[in-house]
Amino acid sequence: MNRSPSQFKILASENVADQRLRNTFQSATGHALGQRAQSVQLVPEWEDLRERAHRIKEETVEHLDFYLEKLEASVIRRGGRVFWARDASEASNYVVNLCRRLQAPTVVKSKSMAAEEIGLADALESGGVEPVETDLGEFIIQVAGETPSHIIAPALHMTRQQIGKLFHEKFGIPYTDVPAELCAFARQRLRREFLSARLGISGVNFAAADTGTIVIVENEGNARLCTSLPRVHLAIMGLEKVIPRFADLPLFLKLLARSSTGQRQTSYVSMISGPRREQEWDGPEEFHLILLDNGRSDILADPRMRRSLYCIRCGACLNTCPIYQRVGGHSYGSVYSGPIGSVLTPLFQGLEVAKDLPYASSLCGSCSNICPVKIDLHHQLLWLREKLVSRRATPWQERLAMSLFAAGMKDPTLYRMGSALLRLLLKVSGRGNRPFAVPGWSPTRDFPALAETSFKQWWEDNRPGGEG
Amino acid sequence: MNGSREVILGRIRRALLRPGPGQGQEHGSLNGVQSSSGRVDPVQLFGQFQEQSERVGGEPRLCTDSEEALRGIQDLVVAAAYRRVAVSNHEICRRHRLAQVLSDLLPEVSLWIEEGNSDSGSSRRRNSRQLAQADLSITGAEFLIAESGTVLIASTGSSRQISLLPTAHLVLATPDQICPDLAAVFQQLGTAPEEGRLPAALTMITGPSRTADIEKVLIKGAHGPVRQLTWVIGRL
Repeated sequence: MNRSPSQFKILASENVADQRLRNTFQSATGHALGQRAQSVQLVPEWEDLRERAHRIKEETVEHLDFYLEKLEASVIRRGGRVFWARDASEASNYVVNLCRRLQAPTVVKSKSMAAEEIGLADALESGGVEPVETDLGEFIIQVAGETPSHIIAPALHMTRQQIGKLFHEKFGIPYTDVPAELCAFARQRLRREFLSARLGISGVNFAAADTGTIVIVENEGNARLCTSLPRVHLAIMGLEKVIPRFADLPLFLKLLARSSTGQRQTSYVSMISGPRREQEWDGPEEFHLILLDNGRSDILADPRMRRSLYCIRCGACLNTCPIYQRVGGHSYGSVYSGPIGSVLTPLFQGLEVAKDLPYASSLCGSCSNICPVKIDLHHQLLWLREKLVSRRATPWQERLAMSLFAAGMKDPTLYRMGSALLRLLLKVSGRGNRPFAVPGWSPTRDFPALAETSFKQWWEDNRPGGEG
Repeated sequence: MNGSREVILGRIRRALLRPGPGQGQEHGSLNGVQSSSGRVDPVQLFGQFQEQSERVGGEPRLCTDSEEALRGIQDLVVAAAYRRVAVSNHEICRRHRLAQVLSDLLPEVSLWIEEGNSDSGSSRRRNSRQLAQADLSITGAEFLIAESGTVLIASTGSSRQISLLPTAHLVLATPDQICPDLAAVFQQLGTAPEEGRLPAALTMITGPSRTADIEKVLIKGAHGPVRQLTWVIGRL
């Protein structure tokens, strides 16, 4: 199912009308926010931690070349290999070639937004390799031929009945809609894949430049399986996932777990430094790390938008966003949804393609308040709108209205004349004091009626102890 | 190393010529999270570990001595009708002579003992298949973290898969391994662990494997162990 960010308005109005989907997203995001609030409450120094994390990310991004070279050197020192990929096809080709060398008919894959971003699964399939998604949510949507609707919970949009029906049809197992039974089936089925795959692919939550350690945070254990059993482990990360020091991890782990699921610690955190050592029992013999640019260096070139690269993909801004809560992840037509998606997608795919996304926000600032690394998301959205306006990418009606408004606001006489004219127009049109219908606004909202007199007039008539 | 390396680094350097919000500032001295406490009462530490581990569905327990722990394992195996038990080569398992004692205590159970490292890929694969059949595995840990009810294990202490493939995973530990929080553990690991000291895999385990991917319903035992037990052996 291919969606494009250019379809945001259509997809959003479809999804907003789907009452079941709305209920699902409202309750799931509400639940996640509640859990988060509970666990954050127990950390009195939370604001201080956010500030520290922000400054560490700032330091890293402002010296990104230095830290990436350091990371590369550390990974190589520990026996790993590093591949720099300019774009999706370079990264995918590297993985496909690796599969060919390993003669691997299948690969097991754990959750990775970067892999999702470059469409790695499709590239592998075209290369004759079967990618097996092993995160339960990802497995479900892979079988369904869907895309993720939430960074943390990819199959959030599906009901247990839909999943039960799907497994029944695709795998021929007796129908069940008991979540534990569905999960047990997936576990059993995927175990076979884990035990035979030659290559395991994972994402990266953090990569420490000084030790070459990559960190993977998860609850299911599939990332541990992907990185422990196969002969080769390949990890893929966006350039911005690097952090300066191994010692920074307690800070970031604390912020990530609490922000995304409200857990003090996820079930598993794997800290992997290179391939298996000689004296160790098991683990992969080769470790490959892909450093993916794919538009990130372009984002870096705009100093104002640079902060969007601080993101640690916790999903908290999705949960708290009043728009996301109502339209759901698929409306954004991109792997990144919610406020951070509305910032990243236009930057990755082009402002023209995703011109509605910067407007998918009430600018309430809730996203900026919740962000564990203090990205000023609502300012970023506003700056993207500014870019759209300066490129004259907004509708001509809006541009006309705005220039009339600007002229009126600058000149008291024009302002008075304008508001008198508007009242007169309404009167002669026979609409009483109801304004004209405005397409895109009035079909879903009532336009408030204009007051009988302007405030200025009212003030002059009613001013206490006034001229009279 | 490949051609795109220079291209990407060049683009980054050009991009950074335009100063951003914090450029030029020196943040080298910024540290992460401070450990919350100096010395803490061991009883309190274990109490906190126990509370947090139970919160996430773990099964923590205090055993006053080796004998109690061994009897406990016997009871556990019998009660859950475990038929295959895997024992790691971790120092603590060897210290309590688990392999020998358990084969005496539980003659009807099939024991799998993790022996020295296996250099060939095929024997590692064989081990994986064995471990995937095991009902229970017993390993040690490097640290316990009271704040979150977490155990930290290293790929140098035992294999990665022995704590991952069996249905239940039991960690044996000692009271002095309990640290108040993650920051304290990292202080012990060293701020920038040198080559030798950092194993290829450090894994933090907090309760059993879980998922909430279907309608946010919490399910234990997604891909890893369904039960996670941590027994601290010794007097506090």
